[in-house]
Amino acid sequence: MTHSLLLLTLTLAPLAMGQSLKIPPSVEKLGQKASESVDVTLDGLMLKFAQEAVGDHDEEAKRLMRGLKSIRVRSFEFDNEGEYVAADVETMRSQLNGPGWSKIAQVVSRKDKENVDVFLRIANSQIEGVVVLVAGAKELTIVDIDGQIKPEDVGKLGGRAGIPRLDLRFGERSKK
Amino acid sequence: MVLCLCAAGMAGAHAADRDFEAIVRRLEQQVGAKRTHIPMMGMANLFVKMSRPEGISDMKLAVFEDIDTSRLVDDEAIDRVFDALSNEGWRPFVRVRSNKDRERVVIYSRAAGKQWELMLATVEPNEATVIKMKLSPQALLQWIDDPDGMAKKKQGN
Repeated sequence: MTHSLLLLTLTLAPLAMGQSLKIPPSVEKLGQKASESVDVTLDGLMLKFAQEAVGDHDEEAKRLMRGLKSIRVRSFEFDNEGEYVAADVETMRSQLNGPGWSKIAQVVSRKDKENVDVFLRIANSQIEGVVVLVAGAKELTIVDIDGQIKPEDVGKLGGRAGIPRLDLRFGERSKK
Repeated sequence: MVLCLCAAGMAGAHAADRDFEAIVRRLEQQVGAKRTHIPMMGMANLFVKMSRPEGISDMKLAVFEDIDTSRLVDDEAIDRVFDALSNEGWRPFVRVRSNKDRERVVIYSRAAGKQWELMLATVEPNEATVIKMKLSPQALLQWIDDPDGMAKKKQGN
């Protein structure tokens, strides 16, 4: 019995560490409704290649890419409000509120009718991923960075790799 | 020995061409039209090879003009076109879709030795293009830095 429990615990341990975000099919299909949509996927091989290409010319870019396994960006712009449903976002938020994930920032802008949530995936006391959800009245952006990255570096990736410019200086909480 | 190296090189080139031709043929089936014949296309490719703009080499281009692209509106239709890739390392890289302008850009990529290969399909209301090209590491960095911007730029070109 004890062995069975131990085995169960060991089997479940990786699950408790937090899994990568699964983008629901309903969100993937939003491109059909959106006036404009952009999907960008940079996998580990491409990032490694890029890191070597950067060489010593841009130390910061090289450092930012060093621990990354992949970057996915899904971005949708709509002509009208209410073209995507809150349930689409909630499905992702519920995954990100699960074990292994920690919400570190939430910005609600009534003026822009926009919510920005930043979640970290932590395993063995290390950040293993970052997800940024930007849910506006007429836009939805999901940035899913898999790999080791410091929260303060997420903002530095803004404007690169299809990631929107986000001013994520923690403590000041604002979005450009 | 030299003959073997040449043969190996040609086999590699044929494999790369095969993917390009497979995409073009699938697109022809999908839109029910043949690619537009471009006079002096070989010369244009040679020029690109010599001038290497923005670190691009080995560019191949197929253009479809005056066609009905409504059959390429669905994601599934575009996926069927790219299913023609042999899957030898090709992975989705960028998808830009504008329903407003009825335009799409789909890009797959893969490593090719010390370079990187892109296979692009751009679709506009009455025309489509398929482009395959090799990028130098520096050119790839430009794409990584601004993937959707570069994709839109290619659409504009």
